[in-house]
Amino acid sequence: MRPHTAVLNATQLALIAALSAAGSFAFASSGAFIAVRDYGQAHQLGYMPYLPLIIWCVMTTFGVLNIIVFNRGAGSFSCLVMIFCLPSLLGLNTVDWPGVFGADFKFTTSLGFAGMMIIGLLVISGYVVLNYIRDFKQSEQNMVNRGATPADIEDVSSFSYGSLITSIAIAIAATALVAFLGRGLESIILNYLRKLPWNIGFIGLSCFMLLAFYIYWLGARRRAKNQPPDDIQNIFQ
Amino acid sequence: MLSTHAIKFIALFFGLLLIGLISGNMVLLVMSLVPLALLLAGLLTEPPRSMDIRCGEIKPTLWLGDVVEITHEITVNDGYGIITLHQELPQHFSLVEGNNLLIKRKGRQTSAFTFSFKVRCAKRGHYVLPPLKWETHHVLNLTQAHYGTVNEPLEILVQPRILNLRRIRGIAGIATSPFPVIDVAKIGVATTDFREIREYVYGDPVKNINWKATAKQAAHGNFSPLVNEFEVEGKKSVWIFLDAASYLEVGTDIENSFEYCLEAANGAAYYFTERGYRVGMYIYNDGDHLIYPDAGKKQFLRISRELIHLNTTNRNNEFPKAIEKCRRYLLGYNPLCIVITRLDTRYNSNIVQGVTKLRLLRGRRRRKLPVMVVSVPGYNIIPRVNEFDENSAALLQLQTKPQTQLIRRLGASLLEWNPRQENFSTALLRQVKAK
Repeated sequence: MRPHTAVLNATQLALIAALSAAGSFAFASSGAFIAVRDYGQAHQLGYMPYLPLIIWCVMTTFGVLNIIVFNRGAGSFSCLVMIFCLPSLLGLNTVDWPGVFGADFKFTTSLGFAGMMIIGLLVISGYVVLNYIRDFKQSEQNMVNRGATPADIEDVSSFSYGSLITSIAIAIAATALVAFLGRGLESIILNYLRKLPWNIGFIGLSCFMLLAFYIYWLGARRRAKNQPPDDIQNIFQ
Repeated sequence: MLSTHAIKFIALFFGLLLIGLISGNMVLLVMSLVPLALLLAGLLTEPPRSMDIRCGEIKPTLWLGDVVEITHEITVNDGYGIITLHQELPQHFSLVEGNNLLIKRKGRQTSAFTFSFKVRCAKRGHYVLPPLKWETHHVLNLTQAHYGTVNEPLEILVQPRILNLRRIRGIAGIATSPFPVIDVAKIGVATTDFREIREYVYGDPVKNINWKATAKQAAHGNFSPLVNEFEVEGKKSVWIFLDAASYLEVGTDIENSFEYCLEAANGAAYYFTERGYRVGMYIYNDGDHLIYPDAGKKQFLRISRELIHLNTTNRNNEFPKAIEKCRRYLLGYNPLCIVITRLDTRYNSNIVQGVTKLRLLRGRRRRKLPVMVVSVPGYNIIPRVNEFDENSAALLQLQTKPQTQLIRRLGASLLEWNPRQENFSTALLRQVKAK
């Protein structure tokens, strides 16, 4: 194993462990865990105090096997993490869907908005980074198979990882900014929004999104039109 | 055009957004912003779409074994991503230095670099160097890769290398070869160089009669006229019989008996045409492949061109027939016959039969045609890895010995060339040493 590959595997392992820990922690903070713990205590199940650790171990093992050993995508592992995060995540719902259907059932969590947001951002960015690491590893292998020099591979890989880290950092920073701004605005405009029927808000937001994408698409089309095809742009000398 | 990565991000964004909106969950809505922000941040950059490529000069005609440097000066002004350049090499071209694949990153600044490597042409032939291929990728694979080619395909002709055949001067004695370099032809266009005065024979042109000498001789009572004889243009003729049977392909695709036979044929043709000989060639076991005897550089080029595209066939017994087909020329020019083949095969009886035929071609009473058999045995070509290989080679050599002795007894000179030990010129020089 090359030192570079070992570093990548170690990074993947650290990310898998961190995501598993986040999932386990989110589950342990939820009302679902309390219900399971009470059930365990009632039936005198001895391993109940170690349940978060067991969940962490199971998720990490699954992630290591799936991502590092079998070199598959991070989709199924992230879904597993999300499943364990779900009880806490649903605890922050503003729409009481079980109540809408007449059920007396409520998700609770001891985590606040900031804590859950950090876990959510960790899970989603971890999923993206794990997928990209797998892709970059495959690209490196392709380059090796095609006979590229090790120096070129090293250079391109460091460039790719650098770009990925920068992009992720920008994305997380932008998201965090929007989140905290949104949280600040919530207190200002919530009273006004509550007066609006929910369907107007939903349809309005959908229309806004569609309009935004239409404008983006128009811009992209204009950019593509301004650029001649690739083969004409080559300057043959 | 967006890639599957980008589409995955869009799907993830819409999925989380929808669930977040339905459940009124701010965390999910925030989470949905991550793939969106990543997508938008990634799409702010585009992979390079154009590049200025200046190609170095490549000679269209090369010699076998030449090392050629292929150079491209590349400047990329716009874009941000990964650039891949690949120069596909024709078959039988091997990399000597550098790499024909270059992968470079392109940052914000203008990037200028050189893509250079050296290749060796390992086999004669006509090749096409494909155009340089380039591809550019988005650094996060958010858009599809751009592909393209630069320049037109370049045709390259790789000619067999001409051997550095040296000429030995001033060795007194009887040559082992029956065909010394200074031999001159009996027929051909007469020059103005006077050779001798001889008696008139029927058919001599009247203008050649030396009236003064005839008158002087008549004073002594001999009334037959005397004629001047002049040197004829050119020297003797050489006829090369080249074997093109598939049994010659012993060894690798690049280094085998057939390739060495071609090298020997090309070298011999060059040597004799350079010295003013009239050289003809017949390629047997390859159908009817006759090159009429002629002198000069043009003839060498004609032969060389023929050899470039020559391939072996599955025939193996056409040597005696070849002699029949060339009979007219052999009797007309009395050439030195050089047979280039491989003797360590089960078909060598054809060679012996052919050499016998050549020696008897002019009848029993007249001087026989000089014949030289150049053999490139397969056991000298195949690398010997262990003692079993060594013993196999020795056994093959012993097995061939009766045939080689028979050829020598027939009066033909035999040159067994081992290309791994000596070059063809050295092997030939062994034949012209004094007795």
